Amino acid sequence: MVERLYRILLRWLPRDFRERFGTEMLDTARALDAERPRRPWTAVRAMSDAIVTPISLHAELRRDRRLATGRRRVPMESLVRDVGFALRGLRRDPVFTLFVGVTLALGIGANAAMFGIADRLLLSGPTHVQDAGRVVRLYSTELPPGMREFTTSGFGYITFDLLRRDARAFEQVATFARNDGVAGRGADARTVKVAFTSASLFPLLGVRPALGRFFTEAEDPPTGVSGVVVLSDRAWRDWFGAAPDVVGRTVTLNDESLEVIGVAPPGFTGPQLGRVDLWRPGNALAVRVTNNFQSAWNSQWLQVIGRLAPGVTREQAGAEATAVHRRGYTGGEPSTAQARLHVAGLGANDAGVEAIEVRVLRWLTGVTLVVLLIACANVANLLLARGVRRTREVAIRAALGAARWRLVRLLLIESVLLSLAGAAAGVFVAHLVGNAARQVLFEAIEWSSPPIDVRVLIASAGLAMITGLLIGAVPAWRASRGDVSAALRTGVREGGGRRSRLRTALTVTQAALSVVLLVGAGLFVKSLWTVRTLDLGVDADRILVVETTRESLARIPAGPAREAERQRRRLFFFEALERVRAVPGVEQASVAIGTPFGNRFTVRLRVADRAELPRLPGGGPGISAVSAGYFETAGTPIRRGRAFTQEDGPGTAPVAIVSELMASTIWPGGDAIGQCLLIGDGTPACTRVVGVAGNTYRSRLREDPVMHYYIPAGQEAGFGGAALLVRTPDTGGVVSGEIRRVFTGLDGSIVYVTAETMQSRIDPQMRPWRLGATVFALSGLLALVVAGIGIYSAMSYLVADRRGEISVRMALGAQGRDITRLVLRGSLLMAVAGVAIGEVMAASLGRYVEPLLFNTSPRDPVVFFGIAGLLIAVALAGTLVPALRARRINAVDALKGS
Amino acid sequence: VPRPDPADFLPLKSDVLLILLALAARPLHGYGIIRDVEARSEGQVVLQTGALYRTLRRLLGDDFIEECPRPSGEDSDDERRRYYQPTPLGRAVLQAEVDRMSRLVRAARLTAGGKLPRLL
Repeated sequence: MVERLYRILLRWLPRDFRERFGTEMLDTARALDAERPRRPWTAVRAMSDAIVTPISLHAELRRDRRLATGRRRVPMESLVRDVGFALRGLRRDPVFTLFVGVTLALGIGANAAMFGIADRLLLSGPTHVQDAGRVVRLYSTELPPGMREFTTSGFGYITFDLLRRDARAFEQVATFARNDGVAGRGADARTVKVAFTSASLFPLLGVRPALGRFFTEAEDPPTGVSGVVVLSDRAWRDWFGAAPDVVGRTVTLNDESLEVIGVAPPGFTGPQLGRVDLWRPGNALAVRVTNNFQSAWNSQWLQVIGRLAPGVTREQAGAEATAVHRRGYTGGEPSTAQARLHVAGLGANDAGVEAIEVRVLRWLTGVTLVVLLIACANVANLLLARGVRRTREVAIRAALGAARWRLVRLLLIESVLLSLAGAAAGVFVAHLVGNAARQVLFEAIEWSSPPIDVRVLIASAGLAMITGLLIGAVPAWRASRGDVSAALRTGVREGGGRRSRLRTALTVTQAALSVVLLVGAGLFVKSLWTVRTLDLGVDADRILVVETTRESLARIPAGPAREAERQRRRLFFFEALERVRAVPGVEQASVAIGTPFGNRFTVRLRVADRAELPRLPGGGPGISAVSAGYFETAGTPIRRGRAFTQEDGPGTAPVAIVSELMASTIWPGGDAIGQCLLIGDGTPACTRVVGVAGNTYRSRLREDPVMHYYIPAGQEAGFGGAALLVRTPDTGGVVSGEIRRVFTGLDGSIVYVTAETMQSRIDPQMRPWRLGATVFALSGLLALVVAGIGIYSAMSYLVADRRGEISVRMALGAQGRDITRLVLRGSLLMAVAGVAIGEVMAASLGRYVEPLLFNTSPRDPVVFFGIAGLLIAVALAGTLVPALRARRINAVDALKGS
Repeated sequence: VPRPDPADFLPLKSDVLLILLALAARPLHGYGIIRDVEARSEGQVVLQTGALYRTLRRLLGDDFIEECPRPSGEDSDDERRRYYQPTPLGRAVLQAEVDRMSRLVRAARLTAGGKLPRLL
C-alpha cells in the first residue's frame, strides 16, 4: 500500500529528482513495507510524508535557484525555523498548549460571534440599502395635556402625502408598514409577514429586484385594489422551489388571488430587520385601516422613510418636516397640531431612540471583550509561569550568542501561533455560539448571511494577532531584560518574589473582571426573575387568545345580505362559546373586546357631577367589553361587588366594573359601587358601577398604571373586534387544535384560526432581559471557570516557587496546618482583592446598566454578596490541590535540590 | 578554489547529523540508512522515505556525501540499490558538529555542577 502511495507521489516530484532517485525510493518504500507491521499510524505518517515531500522539494529547488541568482532571503528562512521550533516546543507541553488554546478559542470565538451579530445590528444595518447613512425614519413627538411626552414613528398616509409634496429636504419619501396575513387556504394556510409600501420605497432604498420588477405607483391606486405582489427570496424558494418562471404565477393572500410580478433580492427586508415574506402596495392596507385614509389624521399605521437631499442635515430635515406638518395639519388635536417632527437613522426603534436590544447588544459586545481580556490575562499568566521555567533555557541560548531580538521573536512567534490556533478553534466556537444566539436571542431578525463571513474571519484573525502580541510582549520583554549570568548562576526556582507579583496582579485582574461580569449576570437574572414573577393581574400563561381570519365580506354584494353576514359573524363567538367550553381541558371561556396585551380601546368617558376626570401619565381610562365568565377566565380577581352574569348583555340595564386604580383615582375615599358613568359622546344613559376588579397590565411590562373598566359584551358602541379567551392548563397544542376544529366545523367562512397563549404576546417584551441574563450568565460562568483555573495555576506556581521557603519552614518545625494556612492566605488575599476591585467597578458601572434592568437596583445587595461568596468559594476550591501539595513537600528533598 | 570551512555549515539538523553518523560507520543504501538511524536514535527518529531522499539530494548537492560501489559482503539481491558514503568535507563537517556539541554539553555541565544538566 505504501509503495503505491509513493508511486503516485513520484508523479508530483520534479523531473530531475524523479529520474535520479525514483527507482531507489520505490525500492526503499517496498523494503519498508515488507518489513514493518501495518499499523494505521505508519500509514498516516507515510501519507503525510508523501504530501509534504513534493511541496518542500519544490520550495527547496526554488530557494536554490534564488541563491544561485544571488538573491538571498535568509531572514525568512530563519523565521520558518523559529516557527518550527516554537511548534515543537508547544507539542512538548500539551496540557499548557491545550489550555491556552481552549481559553483563547472561547475568548476569540465569543468575540467573533458577537461581531457577526453586532455587525448586522449596529454597523451595516439592513441589507441592499444604498448609502444607508442618508436614509432616515420620521418621528413625531407630542405632549398631550396631563400626560407624558411621547414619541412615535406611526403616521397616517396624509403626513407622507404632505412631505412628498412640500418637503424639499428629502430627495424621496416612502411609506412602510408590516402586517400579518394568511397565505394559502385550508390545511396549507399559514401566517406570513406582509410589508405594505409605497412604490417609491424601492428606488429610495436603491434596491434592485432579483427577478421581474417591483410595483409602480400606478399599481398602488387610492382604491387599494391591486392584484400584484412581490415575493421575498425566501418565499420564492420555499413556495415555488426557486422556479425561474415564477413571474406571472399567483399567490393566495387573505383569500385574494395575487399575481407575482417580481422577487426581491436575498435578505432584503426594507428599512428594518424583521422578516418579510411578501411585498404589497401600501394602499391595499390603508383602505383596510380606515375608509378615508387619504385625509384621516386620527389613524396612524405606517412609517415614513425618507432619503435626505444632498447637503441636508438631519436637523434641517426635521425642522422642515415640522413646518410642513404644522402648516398642513387639519385635525382637531391641539397637541398634535404642535407636534415636533424629527428624523433618525434606521437603527432607532419605534420611539426614535436606540432600541433596547441595541443597547443590550452594545453591552454584550463589551462583555465579550471583557471575556477576551480575562482570557488574555489568564494566558499571559500561564506564559509567564512557563517563562519562569524556561529562564535558564533562554539564558543559555543568550550565553551561546543568540541575538536578543531573536529570542524575543521566538517567544512572540510562540504566542502568535497560540493565538492563531485559538482563533481557528474560535471560528468554530463562533459558528456554534453565533447560530445559537441568532436562533434563541434574535429570532425575529432575518439573517441573510451565515454567522461567519469574511469580515468576521478577518476581525478574529486581527484580534488573534493583537492578542498574541499583547500576551507575548510580557514574557518577551522579561526575557530581553533578563540578567544572563544571574539566571545561569542561581536555581530556577529562586528569585520568585518579583516575578510572582506580576502574576498575582494578573490573577487579581481576572478575578475582578469575572466579578464585574457575574454581578451583571446576577442583576439581569434578578430582572428576568422579577419580570417573570410580576403580577400582571391576569394569568397570561394559562389563557389562550383565539382569533379568526375570515373570507372577505366584499365577496357578498352590498346590501341586506352583507349586513346579515356581518351580524352573524359578530355573534359567532357567543354561539361558539358553549361548544368551546365543552372541549376537554377547557376550564372556562369568554368573549372579550379589548384584551390585555391585545387591542386597547378608549371612548369618551365622563362621571356624573364631575367636570373633568383626573388624568394619569399612562393615559386611559381604557375600556373592554366582556362576556360573563371573563374574570374567571382571565384570573382577574373581583375585589368588591359582583362580576357580570348571563343576565348582563344587550338590552339589559347598563352596568360596569372598574379597576381598583380607577376606583381610587376617581372616587378617592369614597365608594365606587353605585356610581354613574357616562360612556360615549352625546347624552348617554347612566352606567352603574357594580363591581371593582383587580388592576391589570394592559400592553407593556413597563407601563405606567392605567385606569380600566369593563362593560358587558353587547353593550359596547363604537368599538369592536372580539377575541375568545380560553382558560386551560394545557396550552401545549391539544386544546388549541381541538378549538380550531370546532371553529372551522361551525363556520365555513373561517379561513384561519390563531390560538396562542397571552404569554406568547408578552414574551417578546421580555427579550432584553432574557438576552442580558443569558449572555451575562454564560460569559460570567466562563469567566468564573477561567478565573478559577487562573487562581489554581497561580497558586500551583506559587507553591512551586516557594518550595525552598516552605521546606525551610518545615525543617524549622512548621506543621502541615501552618503551611496550608500560608497557601490559603495567599489565595484568599487574591480573591478578596479581586472581589473588592470588581465590586467597586461593578457598582460604578451600575448606573449605565440601570435603565436596562427591571425593578432591580444596580447595587442589589443580594447579588453583590452572593457573587462575592461565589468567587471566594471558587478561589478556595482552586487552592485546595496546591495547598495539599504544599503540605507534602519533603523538606529534605527540596533542600537537597538547591 | 578555496576550501570550504566546515564551521560554515553548523549547526546541523538532527536528521542530517544522524545520517552522516550512520554513513561514517559504513556505506549504506536508503533503506539501510533508515534502519541505522532508527537504531542509532533509539527509535526516536524514524525517517520517512520522501524526507530521506530530500535530505540525500541536499547532502549530495552540498558535497557532504557521494555514491560509492557496493561494499563487499553486502548480500543484496538488487543491482539497483545505490550506496552512499561521506566525502572528506562531510566527515570534516560531522567532526566539527560533534566537537561543537560536546563543548556545549561541557558548558552546561559546568554550570550544573558536573551533573548532566536538566534544562527543561
